[in-house]
Amino acid sequence: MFEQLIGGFGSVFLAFNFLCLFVGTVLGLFAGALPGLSSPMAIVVLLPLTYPMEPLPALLVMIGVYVGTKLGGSFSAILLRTPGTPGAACTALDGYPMAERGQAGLALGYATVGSTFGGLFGWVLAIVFIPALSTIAVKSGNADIALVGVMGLFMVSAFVRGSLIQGLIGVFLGLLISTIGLDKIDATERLTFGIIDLMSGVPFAAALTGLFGIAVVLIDVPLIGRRDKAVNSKVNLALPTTADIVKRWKAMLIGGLCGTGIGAIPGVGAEGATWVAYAIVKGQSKNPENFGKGEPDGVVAPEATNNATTGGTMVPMLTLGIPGDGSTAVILGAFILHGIEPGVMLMQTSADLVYGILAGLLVSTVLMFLIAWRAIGIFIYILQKDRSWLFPMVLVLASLGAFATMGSTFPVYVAIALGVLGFALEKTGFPVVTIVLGIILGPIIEENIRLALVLSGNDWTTFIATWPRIVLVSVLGLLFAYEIWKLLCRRKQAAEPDVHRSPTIGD
Amino acid sequence: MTKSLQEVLVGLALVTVAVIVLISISAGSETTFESSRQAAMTSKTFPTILASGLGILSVLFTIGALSRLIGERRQGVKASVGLYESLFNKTSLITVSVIVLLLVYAYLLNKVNFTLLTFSFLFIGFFLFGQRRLLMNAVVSACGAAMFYGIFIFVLELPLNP
Repeated sequence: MFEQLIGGFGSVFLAFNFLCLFVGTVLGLFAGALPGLSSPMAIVVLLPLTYPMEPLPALLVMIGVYVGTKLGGSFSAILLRTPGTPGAACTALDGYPMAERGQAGLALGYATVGSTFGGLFGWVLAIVFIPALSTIAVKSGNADIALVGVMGLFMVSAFVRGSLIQGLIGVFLGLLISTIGLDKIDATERLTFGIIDLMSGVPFAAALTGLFGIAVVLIDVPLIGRRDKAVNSKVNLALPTTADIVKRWKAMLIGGLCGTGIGAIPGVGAEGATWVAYAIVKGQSKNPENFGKGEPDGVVAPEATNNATTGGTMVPMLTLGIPGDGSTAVILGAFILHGIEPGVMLMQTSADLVYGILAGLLVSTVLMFLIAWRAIGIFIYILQKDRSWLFPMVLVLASLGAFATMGSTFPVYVAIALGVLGFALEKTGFPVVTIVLGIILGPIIEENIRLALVLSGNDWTTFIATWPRIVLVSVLGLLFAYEIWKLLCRRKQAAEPDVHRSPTIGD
Repeated sequence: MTKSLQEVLVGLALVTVAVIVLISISAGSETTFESSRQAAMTSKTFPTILASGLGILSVLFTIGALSRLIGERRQGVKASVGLYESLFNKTSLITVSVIVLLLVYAYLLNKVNFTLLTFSFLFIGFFLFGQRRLLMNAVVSACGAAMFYGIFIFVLELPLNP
């Protein structure tokens, strides 16, 4: 493992690869800092630009964007009280009050240090767990892979924002979209409606650019003309002293553990993890009344959590081929577009690539710290500008990116149609990420279920034939029962209007 | 338009999609392989299960939204914005215009000069998104079109110019 990791670092420090990582990190910081842009969107619009690249530099660009957006979101959270990314929502609670009392630079410093620590912590745990889990995962059969995929989709539906029903509807829609085209085993047409271009299925990159690119721009139309004014537009990042950083060790450790652990659960992502970490740090603090009024731990903990999720989400993505959040869903899509099949065999077939990605994750975290420390003024300047200059460019990039997949205009129409669908569903509270995950995991789940049945002689009990499968099915059943119980409790509380309900995390 | 009404409409649309998919799958061609037809799971099974699941979930969602809508009507809750205003306000018109602009761009993409088309798209797009300084729009659009030409035709060698 160590030789492979050193090899990974060697690949990352090749000139072109390092340049890709650097550019990705800078773009990520920009995208994260600008409210209205998102990490999946930033990665998606860069996707077509990476087509002529080798897989590793292409993925390093995306890893750089992924890591950069985590810290970038805190800039606008602290200076504008508007988080640039959902994961930075918690940072605004204490970061903005700090900025209001003239400590904007210090707040940005706490955010940067917390993010860097979280990123390093998450990386260390990822390095430990990924090889170990890969060894277990490779022994899985088709039935195990199918069950893990189903469980991943159910967890995404349960933990993502919105209700379970909305999450499941998104998943089912995505799975249905993935069945369009010729069946891989029988070569029968499914849901093509006579359209020849649909025989090879819905163009994957077009689906991504539509749902994460065009849909996001349409959702952000109300932001037109908005110019945000920072609390202090001439601030410089002020790193806290070493003694101060050491004093915050508990907050950073809690953030690191929450980020990595919760980030590894598909669908929860950074947003949920930061609120959990914030509540824990506040609960064990000697001065909980200071939280929400500019308490530094209230900045350090969520930012550490935010970046620790980059390591956490890598675990299911690289060992099982299940994305942890929207960004890793797009990165998985990039794997497929570059001819690499994600899943349990990834470590066996492309170990060099996996270690290159992991090395890139660490280097990007360090680059993120250095760039923020030395060049934060540029990001503060940009985040106060009108985003309307950016949106038409994003639309062109998304359209041309879709065109590039097949060299024809059909994927562009698909991207527009899915963009409109994604926009309509997001407006009514359906999380679009569930559709994307359904599209990605649908073929894997169906193929493995059918193969498992063929190998077992059409015996459905193969899905509970071994102890790991029984455990997976039981976990699925328990999760389902828990969600139903939660739903019934909520209905009961809604039917009793006199009962005062305390706000809970995530409300 | 209240949120509940929006949810009812989306729910009904999803039920319609599920029904169309079920009809399409059941009317679709059978597999030619005898062994596949005897399999526990054929090419039709997975989409049928998904469409049925989508239909059931959509019906549940629609019923929930409908009950909330009826509850709101009984309590006399009115939308902060009427249906006409919500459909024809500035944001909605801009959104529809952007979608139409995208469709026109896609239609003309391989039919007219790429640089000119992209320049026009960006110029109109900036205008729709609130930039009213026409000269600045033109300059940025020209730079943008040149940049995209460089990336997609020069570097990626896409067949974009007819």
